[in-house]
Amino acid sequence: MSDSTAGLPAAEALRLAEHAREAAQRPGRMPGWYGGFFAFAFAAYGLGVGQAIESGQHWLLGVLGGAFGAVSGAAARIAMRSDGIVRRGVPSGIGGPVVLGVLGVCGAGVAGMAIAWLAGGGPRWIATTAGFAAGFAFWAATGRLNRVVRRRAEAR
Amino acid sequence: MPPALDPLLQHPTRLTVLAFLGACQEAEFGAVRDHCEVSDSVLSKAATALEEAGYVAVKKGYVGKRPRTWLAATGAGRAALTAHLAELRRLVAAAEEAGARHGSTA
Repeated sequence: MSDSTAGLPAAEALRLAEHAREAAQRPGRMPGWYGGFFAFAFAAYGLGVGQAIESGQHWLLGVLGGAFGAVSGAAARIAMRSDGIVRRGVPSGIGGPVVLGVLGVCGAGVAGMAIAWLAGGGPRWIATTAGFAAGFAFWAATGRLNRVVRRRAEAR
Repeated sequence: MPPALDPLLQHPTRLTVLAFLGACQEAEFGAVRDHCEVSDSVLSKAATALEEAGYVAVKKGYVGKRPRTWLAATGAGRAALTAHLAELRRLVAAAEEAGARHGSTA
């Protein structure tokens, strides 16, 4: 784009503005460390919750929840800014895969809990299994989302 | 009276930068430069003009030892962009309507 100071025809100006808007709303890939980091955080949180319940230290649940929220919030903030654009809401065209990913994480957590419970595990095993299952589902979902974003970028 | 075109946004780079920033929360200088396909100096001039008009907020910071500049459209900037684009759409629609009328009478 030139640094011309000439005014633009209206249609051309609208086209430029639309092109810029689309560029800003285009989804970006998440950094490679994000899925693994979250998987680890989920698993550690599940393990901590299980240990706290098993040992009767229920006051630890709030501490663990706060720590998990703070760490995952900070990581999400860093990841969101990693490609230099902080988007508003869910970027266009990836709402479906994001919803599927969230449902997958919840489903994996519940399934992990159910399997551990059916296998006769105590609170420690139930929470740990839920944390690991949700973490790995999250990791898989971020990988899938990155593939969707890459395919969309290649298709342009 | 219909809103007039904003003279500041009649410049292609300034319009592109504000349209880009208006569609996101904030963006790093390098990302805006790459997506808007302008040089550092052109973007710097456009960002300064938009900042002086109160349309863009500039935030400087560091990631480690590397300096980073983040740009964000302000409320006034978003409102000015919306009004400017509405006026452009009105002009395009009026031109199309006049063209269609001219075509039908020819």
